[in-house]
Amino acid sequence: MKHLLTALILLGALNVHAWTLESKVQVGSKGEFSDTVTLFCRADESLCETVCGDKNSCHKEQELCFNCLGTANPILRTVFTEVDRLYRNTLQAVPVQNAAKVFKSSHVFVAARSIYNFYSAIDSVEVQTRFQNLCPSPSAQPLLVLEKNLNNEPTRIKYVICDGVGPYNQEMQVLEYSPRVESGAQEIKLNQP
Amino acid sequence: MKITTKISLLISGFVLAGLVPGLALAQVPAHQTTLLSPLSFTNRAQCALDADKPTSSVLVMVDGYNAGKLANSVAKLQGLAPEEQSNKAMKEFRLSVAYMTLNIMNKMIRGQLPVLPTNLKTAQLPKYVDASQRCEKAGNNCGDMNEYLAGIWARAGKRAELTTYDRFTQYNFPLHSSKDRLGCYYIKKFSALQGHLHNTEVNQSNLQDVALAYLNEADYLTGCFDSDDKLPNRFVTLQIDWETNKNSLEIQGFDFWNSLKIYLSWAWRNTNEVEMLSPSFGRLFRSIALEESIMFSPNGCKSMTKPSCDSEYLSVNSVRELAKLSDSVTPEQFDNVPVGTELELLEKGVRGVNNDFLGTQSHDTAQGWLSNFRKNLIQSRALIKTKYQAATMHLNLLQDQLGVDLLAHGMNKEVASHGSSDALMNELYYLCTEVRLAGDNSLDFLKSNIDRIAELKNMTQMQYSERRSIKEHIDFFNRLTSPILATCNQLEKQNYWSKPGYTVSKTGFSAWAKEMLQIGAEPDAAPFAPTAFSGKATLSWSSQTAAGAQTICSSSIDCARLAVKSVVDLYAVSVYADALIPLAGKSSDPNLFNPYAELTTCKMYDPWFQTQRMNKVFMIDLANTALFGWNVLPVYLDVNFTAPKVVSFNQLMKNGVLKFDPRLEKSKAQTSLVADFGPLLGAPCAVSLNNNGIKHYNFYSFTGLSVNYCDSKQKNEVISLKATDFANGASTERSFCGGCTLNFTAVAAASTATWSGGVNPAKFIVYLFRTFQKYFNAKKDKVNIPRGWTVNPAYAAEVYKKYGEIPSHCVDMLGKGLNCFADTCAAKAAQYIEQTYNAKVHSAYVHNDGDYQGLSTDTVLRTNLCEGDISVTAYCNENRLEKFRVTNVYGWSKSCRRALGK
Repeated sequence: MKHLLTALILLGALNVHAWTLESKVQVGSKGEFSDTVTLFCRADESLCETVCGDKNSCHKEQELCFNCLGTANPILRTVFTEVDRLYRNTLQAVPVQNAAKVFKSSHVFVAARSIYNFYSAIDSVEVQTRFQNLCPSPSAQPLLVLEKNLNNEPTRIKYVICDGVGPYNQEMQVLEYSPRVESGAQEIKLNQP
Repeated sequence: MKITTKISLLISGFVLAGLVPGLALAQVPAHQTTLLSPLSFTNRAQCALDADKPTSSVLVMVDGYNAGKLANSVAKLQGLAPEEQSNKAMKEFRLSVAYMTLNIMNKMIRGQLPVLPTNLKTAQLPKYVDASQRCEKAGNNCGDMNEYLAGIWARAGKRAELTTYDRFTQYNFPLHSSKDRLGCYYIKKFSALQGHLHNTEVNQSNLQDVALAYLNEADYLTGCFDSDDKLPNRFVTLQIDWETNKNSLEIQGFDFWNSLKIYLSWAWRNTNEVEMLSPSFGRLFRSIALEESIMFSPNGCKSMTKPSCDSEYLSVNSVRELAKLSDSVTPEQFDNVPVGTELELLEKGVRGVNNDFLGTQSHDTAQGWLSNFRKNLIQSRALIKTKYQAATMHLNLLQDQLGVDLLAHGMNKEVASHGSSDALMNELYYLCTEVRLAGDNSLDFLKSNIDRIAELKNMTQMQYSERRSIKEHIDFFNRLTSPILATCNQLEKQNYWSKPGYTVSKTGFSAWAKEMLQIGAEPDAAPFAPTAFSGKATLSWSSQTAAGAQTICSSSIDCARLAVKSVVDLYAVSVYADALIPLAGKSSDPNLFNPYAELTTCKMYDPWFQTQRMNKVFMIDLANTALFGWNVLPVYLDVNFTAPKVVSFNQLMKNGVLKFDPRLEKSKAQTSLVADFGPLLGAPCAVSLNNNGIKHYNFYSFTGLSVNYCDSKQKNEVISLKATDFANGASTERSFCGGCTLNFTAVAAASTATWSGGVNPAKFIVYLFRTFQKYFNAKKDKVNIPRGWTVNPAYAAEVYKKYGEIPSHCVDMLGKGLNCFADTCAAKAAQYIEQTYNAKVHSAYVHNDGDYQGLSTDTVLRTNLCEGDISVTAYCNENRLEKFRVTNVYGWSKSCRRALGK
C-alpha cells in the first residue's frame, strides 16, 4: 500500500510538468523591436521558477546571434533549406529536470516564421511544413534550438521543441536532434552495392 | 560583454539633428566639400607603385538588403507595412554604418583608441598577440578577442589605463592633433570628383571636368548623413576622406585601416551604439551579417591593406572582376575548376588602369553601378556556399552510408557483372579519368591543390564542420582513390577499353572534367544519365522528405564519382573563399580600382622596368658618347662658385658663371650647348662640386650629370659621377620632371692637358644630342614611366570661376595640388599661408626671383586675413616643391602683423 502511494505521488509529480514556449518579435515601449522567447508555466509547474525564479513565466531576449541576419551562417542555411533531410529527431526527450538547461543564453530558438529566414519568404509554406515534420506529433510551432559558440555563432542544431505529451507528460517537450548518420533509414534509401 | 557608452563628441563641430531619432543628440561630422581629399591622378606605372602605399580615401559599399529583409519580416510578424519598414531599416542601417565607421576613425585619430598593429610577428602588445593567436587556433570560436577589445573600448580616452592594459606606446596613438579631418560623402553619381578613377593624366580638359563637378557637386554628392527619403538606401557608396599628416599616413596607414575594420566589426555587435543610432531596429541590427553587407575599397590606386602575394590577398582582389559591367563578365568564381588566382593574373596580364575599367561612368547613378557589382557578388557567393554545403553533405552521406570498402567492393562487383556493357565501360572510363585528374599523385593535375585544402585557413575556419573536418573529407577521398586507381590501372593493362567497335561517349564526363579536358558541349547528344547497375539507385532520398524522392547516386561507380566531384568543388570553394565568404570579424577591402596591386606584389609587373630600361639605354648611350665623342665636356665653373645651388644652364650662361674651354669660340660653343641640351637648358640643375682634395685648382671640370625623371617619388635619380658612370641613385623624394644635377670636379690647370688630345667637338655634340633626344623621347612614354599628379578640386573650381576655363598656365600648378597664381613658388607660398593661418589668399606674386642661384623667393600675398600685404620668404625650387621651406613671414601692415601673431 505504501509503495502504491509513493508511485501515485510520483506519477502525480510527473503530471504537473506543463509549460509552453513562445517565440516572437516584440515591440518595446520606445518602439524598439527585439527577438524574444517566453516560457510560460502552468500554476503547478516549477520549471519557470527553476529557470528564472518566476512562477509563471520567463522572458528571454535573444540578444546577439552573430551573423544570423543574412546568409552567412551555414547552420541557419541548413535549418531553412534541408534540415529535414540531414538531421533527425532522436525521439529522445530531455528529462524535465534538465529542460531548464535548454533555456540558456548560449542557445538560440528558431521558429519556422523567423526573422532569421533569409532563404525564403517568412511565410513560406515549405519551411513551415519542414519544421512541422521535425516533430513526432503534430506541432503548430516547433522551435529548433541551436547552440552558439563563444563568439555567439550558431554551430549546432541541438534540440527541437515540439507540442504533445511525451514521456515526461508535458505540453511541450524538448527532443534531442542530431545529424542523420544511420544507414538505410526511412528518409535515406540505401541499396547495398 | 556588451559595452554601453554614450555617444558624444565626434569629428567636427557640426550638429546633426533630427535625421533619425537616435542621432538627434549625436554630434557627427557634416558634409563639406572642402573636406574632399585632393584627387591623386596616376598613370599605370605610378598606379602600380601606389598600391604599396596606404590610402587616405576609401569607399564603403553598403548593401541594405539584410536590413531591409529583416524589417520586412518584422513588419509581417507585427502586422506593419513591410515596404515602409524596409525602407526605414535600410536608411537607418546606412546611417549607422556611416556613423560607426567615422566614430571609430575619429577615436583613433584623437588618440582615444589605440591603433592595433597588423603584423602580429612584430607587434609589441602581448595581450593582443595572445588573444589573436588563441582565436585563430580556435577557428574564431573564441571570446578572448572580444574581451580584449571590450577592455580597450571601456578605457577609450584614458591613456594611462590603456597603457597599463597592454603595452601600448606612443606609436599606437598617432596623435594627429586637430589638423586631421574626416569628410564623408554619399556618392549619388560617379563623376569627375572621382576623376582619378578614369583619367591617367591631368590636362585642361579633365581639370575643367573636375571644376564643373565641384561647382555642381549637389548632382554628384551629398553628405553621409543626408536623410532625404528620396535617396536610395539599398545600394549606397560612401566616400570617406581622411585628411592627415603625410608621414603618419605612410607609417601607420595600413594599421589604421586594419584597426578600423577590427573595431567596427566588434563595436557593431558588442556596444549599444547601433541601438542609439537606430532605436527601432538597432537591437536586431547587431545580429546582421555586417561583413556581408558592407565592403571597403580604396578610392584609387593606393591600398587599405598592404599587398602581399598570397592566396588570401589574391582571392580578395579577385572580386574586382565582379565589379565590371555585367555583359563583359565571366567571373572565374563560376568555373568548376578555377585555375587559381595566380594563373588568372598571368592570363589577364598587363592592362590599363584609371580608364574606368569598372564602368563607374557607364551608370546613371552610383547605385546602378553598385547594384550590378553586388548582384554578381551575391550570385558568386551563393554559388560558392551552395557548392560547399552540397559537397560536405555528399561527402558526409557517402562516408556515413557507404564508406571506402563498400564503394570499392561495389565497384568491383559492378565491373564483374556488367563489365562488357557500353554503359559501364563509359562510366568506368569517366571515373578512372576523373580520379586521375583529381587524385593521382603522379600526374598531379589537381592532387596537390586538393591536399592543400585541408591546411587552408579559409577552409579550416569555415563553419559547418560539425560532422567532419575538411581534413577528414580529404582523407576519405585519398583512401577512396587508392583502390579505384589500382582497379583502373589493372583495367588499362588488360586493354579493357580497346574492345572492337567501342568508342567512349564524351557526354557523360562531369562538368568539371569537361572543363579541364576542354570537351565542348555537344548540343545534339542525349543528356547523360547514370545507370543503376543493380536495378535500384545505390543512394537516394525517399519521398518522405520535403524535397521528395531524389537519387543521390545510382551505382558505386556513380557514388565514387560524386565523391570526386565533391572534393573538386571544395577545391573551387577554397580558391575564392577569402573573397566570397569573409571570415568573421573583419570586412574585406579589395583594391578594386588597381589591378596592379596583385601584379606588382607578385612580381608580374615591374613598374620600374621601362624606367630602368630607359636609364640603361641612356647610360650606354652616354658611355658611347664619352668613348667615341669627347671625354670631357668643355664647360667649367669659376672656383669661387659656391655649391650646392639650383640653377639652370640658361642662368649659368647669362650670369657668366659658365666658362668655356678657351680653345673654343664662345659663340660656337654656346650654340652647340643650346642645340645639345635643348630640353635641359631651361631646367634647373643642382650643381654639385667636388674638389677631390685638390688644393690648387683653377676650375671645375664637368664630369657628368644626374638626371631626375618624372614623379616617381622614389628610386628616381640617375646619378653619374663621371660621364661614363651612371647608376641608379638612392631613394630620394622628387616631384618633378626633367630636373638635373651637374657634377663638377676640381681640375688643376696642368691636368687640362689630359684631355687636350683627340678633341672632336662636332662628334661629341652629335652623339650627345642623340643621347638626350632618345632619353627625352623615352620619357614621353605615358604609361610605363611613373607619373602622378595631385589636384585639389576646390582650386580647379576657383580657377574655372575666375577665368571661365582652365588656362594652360594653370595646368601645371593645379596638377601639383596648388591654386593657380603667377608662378609655382607663389602658389606654394599661398598654400602655406592658407593652411597655416586658415586664410584665403586672393593674390600672390613673387617679388624677387631669388638670387642667381634661384633658391630664395620672396612672395607678396593679399589675403582675407588683413588689410595690406604679407610677404613670405622661402626656399623654393619649382621642381622640388617637397623641399619648400619658409624662412620668414612678414606683415606689411599693423593688421597683418596682428593677424600673423607678430
